[in-house]
Amino acid sequence: MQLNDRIYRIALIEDDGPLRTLLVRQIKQSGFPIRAYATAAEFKAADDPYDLVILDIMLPGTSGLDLCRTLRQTSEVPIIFISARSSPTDRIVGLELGADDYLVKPIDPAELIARIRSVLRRSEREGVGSGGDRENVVRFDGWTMDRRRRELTAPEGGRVSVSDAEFDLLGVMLDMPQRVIGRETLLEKSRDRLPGSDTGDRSIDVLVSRLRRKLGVVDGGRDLIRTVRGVGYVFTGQVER
Amino acid sequence: MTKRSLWPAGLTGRVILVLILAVTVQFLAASLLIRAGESHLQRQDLGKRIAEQLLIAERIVESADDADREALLDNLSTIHTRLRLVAGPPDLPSGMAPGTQEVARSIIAFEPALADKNLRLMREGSGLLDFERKLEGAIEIDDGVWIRFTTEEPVAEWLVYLESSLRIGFVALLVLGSAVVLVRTLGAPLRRLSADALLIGTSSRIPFDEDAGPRELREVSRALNSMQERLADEADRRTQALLAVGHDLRTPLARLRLRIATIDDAEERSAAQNDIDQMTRMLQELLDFFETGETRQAREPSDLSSLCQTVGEMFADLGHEIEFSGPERLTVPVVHDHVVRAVENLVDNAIKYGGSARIVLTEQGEYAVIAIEDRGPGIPPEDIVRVMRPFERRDVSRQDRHQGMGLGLSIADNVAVTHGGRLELANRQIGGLRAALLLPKK
Repeated sequence: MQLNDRIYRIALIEDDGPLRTLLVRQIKQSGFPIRAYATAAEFKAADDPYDLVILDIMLPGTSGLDLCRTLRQTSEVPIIFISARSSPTDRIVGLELGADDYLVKPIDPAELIARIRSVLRRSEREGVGSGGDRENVVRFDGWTMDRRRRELTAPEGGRVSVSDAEFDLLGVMLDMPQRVIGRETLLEKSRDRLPGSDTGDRSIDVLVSRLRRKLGVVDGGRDLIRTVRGVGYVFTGQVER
Repeated sequence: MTKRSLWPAGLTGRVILVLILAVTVQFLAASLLIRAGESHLQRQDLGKRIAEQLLIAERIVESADDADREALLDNLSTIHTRLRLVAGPPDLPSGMAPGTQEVARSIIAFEPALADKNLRLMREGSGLLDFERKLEGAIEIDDGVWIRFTTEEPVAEWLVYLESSLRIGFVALLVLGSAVVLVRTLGAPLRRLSADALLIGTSSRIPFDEDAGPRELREVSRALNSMQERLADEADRRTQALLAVGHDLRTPLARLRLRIATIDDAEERSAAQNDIDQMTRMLQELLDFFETGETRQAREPSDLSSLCQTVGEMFADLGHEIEFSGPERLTVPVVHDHVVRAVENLVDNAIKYGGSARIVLTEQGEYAVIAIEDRGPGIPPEDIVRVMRPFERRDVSRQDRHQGMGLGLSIADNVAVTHGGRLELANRQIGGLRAALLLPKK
């Protein structure tokens, strides 16, 4: 599979043999070259090149979490966890260790491929090669956005709930503050998690209006997201990194 | 039946009743003893007096002329005792009449000189209510010469008895009163303990004070605490085991999901896909049920307004009719994802049974209230408690392709209870059900 004319090699570490075989087949069918390993030790010993790691959390010997921690010390390679555990705590632990996504078994094959692409696109955008030390916590106008935990905190301190799509949309806007962003750009950059079946300009408008309502009106009646008629939106908040 | 109504049900009542009986017995016994003691003293006094007078009379009679004797004895008589000389045996039965021995003993004990004289004593009027008691007697001072005496036997006055009885009674009442207060004080920790013990198992752990109250109660407190500990450990072990099973089932389920891609028949494949989806949902529901039942979960301040909106929008995106009304912000410390799950379940129910849902967020005293209202048929009042129990389905006859495990309301209830709140189900007057999740604001 090519994204920006590049071939991405995937490493899969999963201890369950049959599942490993099935995942390899699935991912290969989608066009990604893949190598699979049963344990963390096997993966390290092989020392094959890879561009994305799919990691089961519960592995014999070195656990997936430990391996993730080790990998993060030296590289910003995209990591996707697959786990049998679905609790929020498990998810947060995984994401805080620096994983880019966390999927719960049984994984829908189509969903897995979509997530792989999404994570690759994101790492491409942020430039893995150029250090890639993306800030996980972004502040704007008293708000805090934690990209790893996918949490948004209001200036007065409470966690404000937004959907995954709204979170991604806000993330895109925070990357480009004070600039007019066209609907197409927003659509393209946050298309992984758009709601419902109607993916189009209207769904971006719906997302923005929901996001606005949840962010509320900033002191003085200023709107954090301003509409530019016929073009798109401008994020007017002061972003600190 | 009478026995039942007289014997109090409570320990305090029983102890007090026993005390009343004991104090009453003690009061009666004390009254009788004091009365007996007093009449004994009076008889001794009487004996002394008679002995003195008899001795003096004897001396006088012996030393005086026969002619003067009569007049002298008359002079010796007092208003209490009349003395008279009689010749020949007096008209009294010989010896001591019953009831006079005590006085006779006292006479002889006081004046041993009279011991070898012939003494006769008789009592006149011995009824309990006879206030005019007399003691008649005669003593032979010489052969055939008797001194006949009549004296009033002092009867202790009823007023005196009454007075001392009242005093004893007053003391008895004081003893009883303070005992009642003490028994109630002793009973208070016991009552508290039993009130607390009633709450065991209803919500989070009830701490019993192991350093308060009498030793026995402390031991009970300690026993209850360790019992709760054991119960919690046991429940914890079982939950952990079930969670582990749930997690382990996910791997074969994941394999199955990938395997069905090889099924050629599209219809079969989609049916298999649906089966796997249902199993996945059921498993998730079961795991959610156990996870939301855990009380040790970190809460973080979360805005319930945006939470309700986000859940509502998720359903709206699936094509359902959802309304939301509430303040712009209402921040409450909660386990965010658990409350999301609870609201999702309640909205899902509302849509399933009522077609549409209205989420209303309000503040009500110390609670933030998330109410989900629908326009469905509601729940028969007799079923309201039943449907909140785990694995109970709201409508058994209903055919539901996406049937879960019947844990939706139990999960919402778990979430409410572990937060220190509650889930309230009520039929609305205008029809439909209102499910309210009450979460404490602090």
